[in-house]
Amino acid sequence: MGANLLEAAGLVLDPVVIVTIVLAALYGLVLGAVPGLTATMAMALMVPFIMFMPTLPALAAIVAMHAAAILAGDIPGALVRIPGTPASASYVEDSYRLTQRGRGAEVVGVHVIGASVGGLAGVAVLVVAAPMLANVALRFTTFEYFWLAILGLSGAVIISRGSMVKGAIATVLGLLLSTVGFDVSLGYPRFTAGSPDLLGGIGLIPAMIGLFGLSQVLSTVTARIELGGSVSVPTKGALRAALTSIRRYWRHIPRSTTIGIIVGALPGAGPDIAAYVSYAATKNASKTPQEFGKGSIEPIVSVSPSNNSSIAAAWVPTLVLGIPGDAVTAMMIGVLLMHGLRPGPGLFVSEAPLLFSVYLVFAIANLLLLPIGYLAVKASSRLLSIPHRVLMPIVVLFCIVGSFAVNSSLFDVAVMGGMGLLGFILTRREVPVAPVLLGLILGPIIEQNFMSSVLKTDWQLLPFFTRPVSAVLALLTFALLFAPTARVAVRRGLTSRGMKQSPRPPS
Amino acid sequence: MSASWRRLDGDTLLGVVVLLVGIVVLIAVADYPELPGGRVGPALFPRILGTLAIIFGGSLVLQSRVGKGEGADDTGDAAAPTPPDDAAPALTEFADWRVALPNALLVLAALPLYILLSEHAGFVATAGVITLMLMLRLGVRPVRAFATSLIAVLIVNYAFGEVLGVPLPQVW
Repeated sequence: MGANLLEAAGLVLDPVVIVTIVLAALYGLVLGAVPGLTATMAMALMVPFIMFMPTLPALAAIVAMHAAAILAGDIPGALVRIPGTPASASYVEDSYRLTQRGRGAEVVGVHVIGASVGGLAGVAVLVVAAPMLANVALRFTTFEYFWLAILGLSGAVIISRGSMVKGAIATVLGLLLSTVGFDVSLGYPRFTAGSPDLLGGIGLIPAMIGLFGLSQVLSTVTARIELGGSVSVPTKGALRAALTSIRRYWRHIPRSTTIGIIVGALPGAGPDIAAYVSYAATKNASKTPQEFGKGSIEPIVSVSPSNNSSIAAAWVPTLVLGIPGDAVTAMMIGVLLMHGLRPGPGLFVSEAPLLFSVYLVFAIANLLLLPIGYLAVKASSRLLSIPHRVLMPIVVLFCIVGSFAVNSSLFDVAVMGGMGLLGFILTRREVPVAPVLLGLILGPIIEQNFMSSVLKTDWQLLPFFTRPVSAVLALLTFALLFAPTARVAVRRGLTSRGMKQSPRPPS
Repeated sequence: MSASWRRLDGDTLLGVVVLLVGIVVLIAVADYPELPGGRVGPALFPRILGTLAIIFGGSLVLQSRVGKGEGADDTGDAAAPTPPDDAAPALTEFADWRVALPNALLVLAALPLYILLSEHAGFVATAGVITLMLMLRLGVRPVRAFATSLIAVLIVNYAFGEVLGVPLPQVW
């Protein structure tokens, strides 16, 4: 461990890595702080760039970008009531109203400190939990991986906000898209319409640039948007006021951070859902829930660490099992594969120094949030004045070049366009987009592991239920999917951590 | 009420489309080859998914026809407001369709345009025209639009073409 850590420190202290961390954090800051540009989109647009980098700087860029973007999204929420990313949406009403009352500096201070604390807690869990899980996962075979992928998809459907049927539809569409191309059992071309370009399947990277980049452009150019005038927030005295508030409501932080970590580690749910769930839980536990949404600092203290804590937690299932914890880590799998690394427990044996370096980068990036937060406040008033009409055409340009860059294929540009349109239509109908990507990634895993399992056992389905770990995973999946009581308990447990409260009336 | 009517209609339509996709998939895989021993092979997975698509598409149609009564246990009960996943919450309202539709169509048209022209006209010219066109359509003043798109395209051309070595089509 010590030797690994030392070697990792050496790798991280490479000037290239340090510069990459700083640049990626600034990039995340800009895209996170501009409403309409989300962290997922920032990731989609960054992928073509980092594909060409060595592995460590590429992963460092993802870490730094994501942490900075999620924090920076808080700032425009406080300034003009428009959250920079969906992860900042839950408490935007409170932070904006507090800013109106002249407490903007305090709000921003709480956001920054909270993000850093939550982020570091997430890293701690990543460092401790990932190798433990990897140890267990080393003994997994195709049967277990089949169930894990199924469990991941079910979790994504259950946890997705809004209609569960819509979450299921998004998942099935993603899985169907994953069947395009040669099949695993006979190499028979499926749904290719005779096109040789589709034999290899739908490209993961063009698909995600379309789903998260182009679809966001389409949403933006068809939306009625009002951007408020630029407001600036004084940063003087922020630290002291923020610390006072944090001291007052600190008892919420362990709960919110835990929620963030659990939601982050669940497949398909990321910082945005972590924030919503924590907000609801905080409201339940608060002595003054009636103040929530009207300018209370309590949810801000509580929820700020939550979305950032989910970031590192999402890396746990991604690295150990190849089952992404959120949309950004889903795209990261594409990056890992490009670098010849197959996510799985083996990674913890063969790539230990690299993983230790990633942990270090995580720690550095979260400490870096303190100066980044300060910069975000300073830069926000300027960033908020960049009009969408200038920004969106440039994003289109990046989508085109980015999807082309992977294979130098114009066909991939078309794939990106199709997926962009699909993402846009789904978003308009409030169907979550992340499960589509999850289905696209997990589809081949499910099919391959199922097929090789049944070929091994000559179509005996029994081992899926009789192998000990398989049985547990199967039970979990069925409980999650079919027992309505379990479903309710999962939801209630996440939102209220205990069932002392009667069901809330729909608000 | 009229707003909720529109919502219902869109969901019904989506449900019908998903249902049809499921049916098409089932028909398409009907003549896929079998594994030795008569076991279903390449068709198995799509067949399951097609069936699921029919089930979920049908459920969505039923749900949106019946309406959002209290019986619908799938509408989620998170206490916080829930904007669509991954969309910035500020973007939930549609602009006038006379503005929105041409905007969206132009963004989408940019892609076939690029695919058809870039190998003949080169990256800089094609991407430049596309970016300029979009900016003008979205209401950026001509001089600013021209300058911004030129700079953006040249930077992208340098970053991807020179630094990253992506073979962007060049005509000179």
